[in-house]
Amino acid sequence: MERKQFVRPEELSRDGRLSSFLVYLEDVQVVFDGFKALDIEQFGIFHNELRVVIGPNGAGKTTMCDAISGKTSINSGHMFWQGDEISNVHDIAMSRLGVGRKFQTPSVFDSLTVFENLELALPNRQRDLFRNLWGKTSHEEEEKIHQLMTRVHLTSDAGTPAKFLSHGQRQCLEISMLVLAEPDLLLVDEPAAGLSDEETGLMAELLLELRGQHSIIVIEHDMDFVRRLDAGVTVLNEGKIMAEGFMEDIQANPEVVEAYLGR
Amino acid sequence: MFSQANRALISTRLLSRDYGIWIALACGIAIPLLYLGGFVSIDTVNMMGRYLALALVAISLDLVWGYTGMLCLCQSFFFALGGYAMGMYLAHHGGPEGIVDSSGWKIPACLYVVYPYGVGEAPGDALTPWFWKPFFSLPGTLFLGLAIPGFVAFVIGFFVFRSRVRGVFFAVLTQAVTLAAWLVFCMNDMKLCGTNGLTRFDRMAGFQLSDSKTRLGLYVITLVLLALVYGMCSFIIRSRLGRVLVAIRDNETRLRFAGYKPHLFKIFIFSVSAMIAGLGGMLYAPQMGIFTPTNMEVRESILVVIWVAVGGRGTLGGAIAGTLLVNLFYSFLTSRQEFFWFLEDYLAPATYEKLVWTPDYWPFVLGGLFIIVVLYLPDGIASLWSRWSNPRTEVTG
Repeated sequence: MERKQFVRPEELSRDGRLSSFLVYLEDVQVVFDGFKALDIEQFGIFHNELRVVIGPNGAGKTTMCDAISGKTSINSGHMFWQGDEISNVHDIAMSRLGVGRKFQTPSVFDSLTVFENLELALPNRQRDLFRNLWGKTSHEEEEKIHQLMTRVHLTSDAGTPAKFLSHGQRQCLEISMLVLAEPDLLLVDEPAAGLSDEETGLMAELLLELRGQHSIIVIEHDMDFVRRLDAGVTVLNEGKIMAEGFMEDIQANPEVVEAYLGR
Repeated sequence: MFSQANRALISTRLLSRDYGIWIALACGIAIPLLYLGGFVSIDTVNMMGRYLALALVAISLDLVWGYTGMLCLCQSFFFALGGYAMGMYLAHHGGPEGIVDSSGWKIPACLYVVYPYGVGEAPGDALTPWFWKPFFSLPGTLFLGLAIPGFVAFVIGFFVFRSRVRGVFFAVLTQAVTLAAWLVFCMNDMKLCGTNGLTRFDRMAGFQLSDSKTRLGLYVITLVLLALVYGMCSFIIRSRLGRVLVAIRDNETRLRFAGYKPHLFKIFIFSVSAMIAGLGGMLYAPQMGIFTPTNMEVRESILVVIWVAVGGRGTLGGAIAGTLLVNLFYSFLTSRQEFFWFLEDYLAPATYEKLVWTPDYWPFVLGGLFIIVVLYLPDGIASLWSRWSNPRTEVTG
């Protein structure tokens, strides 16, 4: 696969950043009780880009996801979605704009079956109370769910309540729910955590399949997994962006090595 | 084909755990037949009718608690709003005749007795308050008995759910609402008959309430409405909206990130539930023959919680079965029972008397029942069936 040049936000004009980034963060700060959890000067994701965010524990990776998805409100700075300001947009509205979120611990609806979980994730069904009361899932939608379940090996568990699934299956189910919702931006928080080798491989395949159709931000600790994704990497440390680039450049960066290995 | 198999699986999952409704229906139909056959008295039919009305309240709590996960302690308030609506209608048409105010309205007897006269007002120049007047006609009463609880729940829900009050805070808040409402309804100045409550019921739509045919009719109406409400609720539960409700119970935060507005769904189900509880109150009042503020005490709300817990949260049939079971136990154990009759000949009368069951023991039984259910049967008696038939039981946290 032809690899594109890694473009840092600084290399573009401000108008260029606003117009070419799907999500663009500018001077964003998130402060918890005086502690700066996030302090980002410039961070942008292009349309259909796959980006991996790495960093030691407490670096602000999850906080960044929270800020973008509207779970945490930012204390200062600006966030833009396709050039429109989204600094004060809340979680539900962000989700409707097209941000999908996978949480660090797999969060699915325990008492609902795999099929019902996926049914809830179908796009454009959320808005209307009464459409949920009278509406039925169409044949095409069922077919779509069926295909996805085959893809992630969950077909035989279609009628199993999610609480009986293994950890790996729950991870797969949650990511399937994200995929089904067809968001423009996927925020994927530690998809490979606690997965078997086989499941990790499946997860990487899934993400690579999605690349090119959605913008994806993946937070991950597993360096093998990150290498397999072969994508642009942003290193966060103490809330700040320490380095950006491809994996080879990052690994050659002495600062990053120091942050990871400790002084 | 996958989707059919899957559908079948889902529907069996929902149905297999809900056999309680069939037991309840069988009992419900058997009782009047037994009466017509002369085996039970009309009082038993009347009592069962009241319990069926209470089962409506249990269903209404099950919708918000069992399915949506919101422990609501103001179900007795909604029940009383319906009950008061019907009670006011019955008081309008109750006895004795003859107390007519200056504008030509007959003042209900129960209101006349406790009318809060102002300073300088002579007894006798009282007026029927304006808010009593809509309850003179039966259709108006039926409408208001549903609309008022529904509207009150909508208002409470609008403010509470939008500000994301959840869990135990919601329970405490609704309990406070019930308490406040109870205090208000107890005041004579509210012209709602104070602590005396609504009494002196006589006839409903022209039928004498003391007539056993009327009582049987009320029983049948209650049973039919219970079945209809059950059907409506299971339609809601099986729709996609029902799954959204369960999703709210399981993980409301996740649902927000899927783009749903949980508060809309919560307001909807809370209002529907309040209307069902109000319907229960409207059916309870004529069968009880009196409706007082005791019916809306906080205690009553907690009793509903126990019925649903015993029957099984998250199964509509379980809620009905739990209500009937606990109440039948109640009526059995709050009367004198000589469980040790075979010892009567061997013991001194004073010693024997100590072994006789008295109503005072009932709260201990109720409390013990609740503890046993919480510890050993978290899904209530409705889960017994699936426990026996399927070793992989579902245990809700």
